[in-house]
Amino acid sequence: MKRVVVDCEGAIVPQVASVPEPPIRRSLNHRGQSANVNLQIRIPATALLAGIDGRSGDLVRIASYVYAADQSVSRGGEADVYGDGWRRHFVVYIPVTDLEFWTQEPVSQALSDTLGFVSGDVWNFQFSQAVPEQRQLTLDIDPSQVFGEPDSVYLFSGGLDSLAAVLEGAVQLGKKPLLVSHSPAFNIESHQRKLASAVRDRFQQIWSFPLIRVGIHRTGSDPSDYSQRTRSFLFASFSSAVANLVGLADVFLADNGVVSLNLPVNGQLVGAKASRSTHPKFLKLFNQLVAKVFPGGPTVKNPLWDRTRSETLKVIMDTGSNLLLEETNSCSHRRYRTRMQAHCGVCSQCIDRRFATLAAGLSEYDPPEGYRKDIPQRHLPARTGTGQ
Amino acid sequence: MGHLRMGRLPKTRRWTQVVDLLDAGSLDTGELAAAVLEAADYRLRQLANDQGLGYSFWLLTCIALAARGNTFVEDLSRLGITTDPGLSSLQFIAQVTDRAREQISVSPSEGDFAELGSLALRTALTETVGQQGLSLFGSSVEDLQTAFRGYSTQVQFGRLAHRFFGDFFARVLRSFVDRELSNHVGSPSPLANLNESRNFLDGLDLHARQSSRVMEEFAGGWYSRHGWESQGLISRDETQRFVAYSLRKLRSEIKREQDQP
Repeated sequence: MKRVVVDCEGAIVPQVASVPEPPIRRSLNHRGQSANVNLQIRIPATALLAGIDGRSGDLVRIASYVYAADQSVSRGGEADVYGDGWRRHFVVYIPVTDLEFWTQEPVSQALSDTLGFVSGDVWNFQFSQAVPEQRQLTLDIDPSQVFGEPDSVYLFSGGLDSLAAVLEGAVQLGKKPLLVSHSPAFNIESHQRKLASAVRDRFQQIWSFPLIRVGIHRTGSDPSDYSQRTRSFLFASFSSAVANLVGLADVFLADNGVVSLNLPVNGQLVGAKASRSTHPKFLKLFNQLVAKVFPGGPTVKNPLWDRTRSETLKVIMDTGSNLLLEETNSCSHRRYRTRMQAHCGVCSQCIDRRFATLAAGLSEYDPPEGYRKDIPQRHLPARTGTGQ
Repeated sequence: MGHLRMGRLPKTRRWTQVVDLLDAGSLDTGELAAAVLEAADYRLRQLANDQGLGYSFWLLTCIALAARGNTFVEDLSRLGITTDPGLSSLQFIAQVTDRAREQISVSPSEGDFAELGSLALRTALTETVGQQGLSLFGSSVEDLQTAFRGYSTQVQFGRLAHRFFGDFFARVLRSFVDRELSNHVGSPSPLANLNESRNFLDGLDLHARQSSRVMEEFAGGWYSRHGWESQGLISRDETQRFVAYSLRKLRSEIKREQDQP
């Protein structure tokens, strides 16, 4: 198993005697000339500015560097036929504000267990005391939007499921969602912004749908690995920190139940090779961790856990939002997106989406022209849904 | 979000032979199994030292031995497995599998094989103890022990081991073949459609399980001898050596079957 030692923000890594197989070294920083992690958070009001420090800041910082470290070492690629490179052992040296808290064994164990399950890797942490300038995250504030008084946090990826969850919450259940999105690349950010704007335009009489955009990603070079199994940990960590600061109890991370379980489609998909981003066990482990970080604080829930994607589409139809479907994107091959063909058509998300829109009779709003490759519809039974 | 990391077979001569077999006019599961084992031979030999895989079989052995004694609950507790009243057989099996996975996470095992071993452990238990008529909604510890005791004799443990190794080998074969098979479905390939593809994979599973039948007597004998000698405490080292030898035996059995006219 590859052993990787990661030092974050200049944390001191003790010298060890030379060993036959020295670990891979990675240095990660979001400040100064050697910065290689972008840790940018855009918040539509100053209310949160002062709050992202202490344990909240620690959790977000840990999740951000874990996300960056995850992408910095290859898992062996597609040609690794035995999966020998898939699992890695990370030892992360990182400064934190609340050193006494993070060094408690149950806390660091809960952190390692949660990350271990979601990524399939082994994670160990060596915490050190953060100096004052490391304590608060840099925030880029956009005061042009009205923050309002939200009652829940909804993770907003720009895909079908997160849109359905937001619409169900706001339109059908009368909630006031604070949207949080993670934008690892510019084209995704603009897409999420456009979709949020379309939701606002459609339902402006109900709620303002404020959006917090988190621009956390690596910078400088292409990632060594694209699997990003720790992304949902980052997503959930940031959203929980925000919910805790605003005093909200519910964080909704939506995935339909089939995708959430992500049952392996064949025998080669073992462990986290089939991602566990919203797997019930991940949410359970994450909530156990968050309960330690923020006692009595927020809980992350999947509002769509008992529904198929086709059933989640019903929410979009029932709220009269079929046109919003065209603004959503589910494709995992983001690098190959074009304006006209936003979906590759061959990744599991695209196939899942295509089947679901066909099953729900919504093909009109998800036309085959939007896919670089369309699945062979001739093998599917005829569907007579109107999509209304 | 639902991402998948799909792999592909290397373009080496031996793996190309595997791919060529999938294109051949008549698909022979035995021939394909032998070709896969030949292509993966070097890596499969290294499984002798795979601590994660060895741990799964050791757990199976320990539970069977514990069921014979009067300290079932305590013995399981030492393995990190709790037996709360009202635990269903499926919950218990899930707990055992979780224990195996926890061990994988702290062992230096590489590759997918340890994970496949934990899944084989689950299958072996589900197909045996899980079928003993225990309630899905909760059983007493005594019921659980009785169910396991049924598999703690020499003959019955041999059957348990057969299922473990059979399922493990089936999963190993599938983990390679699944990377390529979808490219060989539909005209002009020998597998005309998905149904035929599924039937072929079922045949491959059956072949692996049948070839593993050799393990029944062999594992039963080992279990009986070592269980008696060690007074019910078979060590992990002993088990690791047994697993290493068993895998070697299985590989040669599959190759021998193929070499026979």
